[in-house]
Formats: sequence, structure tokens, C-alpha cells
Amino acid sequence: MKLMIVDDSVIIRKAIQKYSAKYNLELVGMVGDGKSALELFEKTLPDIVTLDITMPEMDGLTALDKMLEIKSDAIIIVISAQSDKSTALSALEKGATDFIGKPFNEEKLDKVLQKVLEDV
Amino acid sequence: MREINLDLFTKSVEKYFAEFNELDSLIIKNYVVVLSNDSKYLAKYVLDYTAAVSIGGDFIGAVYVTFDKQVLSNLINVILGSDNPEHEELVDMAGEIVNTLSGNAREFLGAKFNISIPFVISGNNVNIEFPRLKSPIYILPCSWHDNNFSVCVSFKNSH
Repeated sequence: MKLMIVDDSVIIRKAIQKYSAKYNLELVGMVGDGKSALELFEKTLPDIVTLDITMPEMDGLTALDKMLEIKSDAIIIVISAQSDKSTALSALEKGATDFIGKPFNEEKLDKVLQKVLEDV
Repeated sequence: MREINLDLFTKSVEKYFAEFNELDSLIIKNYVVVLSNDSKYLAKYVLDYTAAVSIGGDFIGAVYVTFDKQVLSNLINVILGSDNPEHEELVDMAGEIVNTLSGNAREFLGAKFNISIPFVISGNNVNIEFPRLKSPIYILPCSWHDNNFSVCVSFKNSH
């Protein structure tokens, strides 16, 4: 399965890459803004996307809508510091598969990745 | 405002370090209240890297977090297991922390506590202007493994 990592923090991108390495996913790319994410998504059609919300160019929730228009069965895991209930609910209502609030550690990402991979 | 700030940013800092099992090495001191946004009064609180977000929506103001370099370097080590981070990685880490601490405040203040993209300034000898910080400014001095950082907050309802 193909994985794409979207976050405007290079540290967070590297952390997700490190934490997800054990799952034998094909990493198609890591980008730091919503516009680049959408371009890479159209080009590579990943199966799983980790998606930040607060980013330059285009925010993650707008990118989420557009990604699901392109590939409705994409698994999109929103990872955001905006961890209030309404933001999480908004992401899930738009079609995100799961929501992780920042800060997050390896265990937290593991739980979500294991769940989505079991459900595939 | 004071009661909300004191509580929620302390909790946000604790939550951040608890996530990485580092709560035991964290010390959060009592808030300092600064009654001027003149940079000469704030200069002594400026450390190696300072990250800030502007606050909009139902609130107006700013959140700054200023760090000893070693705090950022150690956190990168905890998160990625890598030593000797580049300057750009330290800048990135500072921005990510201010974004996370401010974003977590939305749990208490609601989704209309809007946060800008972070900006980061490096150097503790620079004369930083704080145009979005309005008196009173609440400074929460912290240390982690004996290295310092402070959270500086100032905001009010925009209506």
C-alpha cells in the first residue's frame, strides 16, 4: 500500500516516516503544504495519507475534500494540533478515517495504523 | 482571562512532555506578569529560538514560546533519535511546539481561537518586537533537564 505524509513540520514528517516504517508501506512522498499535497496525491494516488490541518497554501481540511473527490476510498488520517472536538468532528464528517491530536507518540500512531490496516 | 491562561497553557505544556514520558524532568514555575510590551522589559526572557503565532477569530493576541537551543535539540532526539540537529530542524521544532501548545488551547477556548502559521526568530541578542503582545503579558517559565523555555501569552476577546 502507498503512503503519503503531509505536514508543514519536517520533524513531524520524519517522525511519521520513522514510526510507520515497520508497516512495509511504500512511501510515495512527504510534502509540507496543502497545494503540493494535492498535486502529489493526483500523481501518485496513495492508499493512506497522514494529513496536517494548519499548513500554508491550502489547509488540510480543504485538501481532504479534494483528495476524496479524486479517490473516495483513500484512507486519510488527520494529525493536527487543533485537537478540539469540533475540528476532529469536522475532519471525520468530511470523510477522514481517523483523527490524531498533537502531540503524538509512536504508540498513538501505531494504534491507528494497525486499525486501518486491519480494516482494509 | 488570567485564570484561563494560567491553567490551560500549564496543562498544554504538561501534556506535551507527558506524551514523550518526560514529565518527571519538567519544571513549571509560577507565572510572571509583565505590564509592558516594550522589548526592553521582555528581552531578558528571550532565549536562543523564539517561535510565535498570532491569535485571531474570537480572540486577538499572540503566543510566543522561547527556548534554549538544548531544549529543542533534546526534543528532536526524543522524537527522532537523532543527535546534532541542523539549524533548520531547530527552527522547525520551535514552530511545531508553539503550534501544538496554541492548537491544544482550542480544547478550552473553542474552535474560534484561530492560530496563524508559526514564525520563528533565532538569536537571543536580537531586539524582538512584540507588536501582538499587549499588556498584561503572562510568562510561564519552564525548564526541562535543566534547560529553559518560557511560554508568553497575551490575548483578549476580540468583541
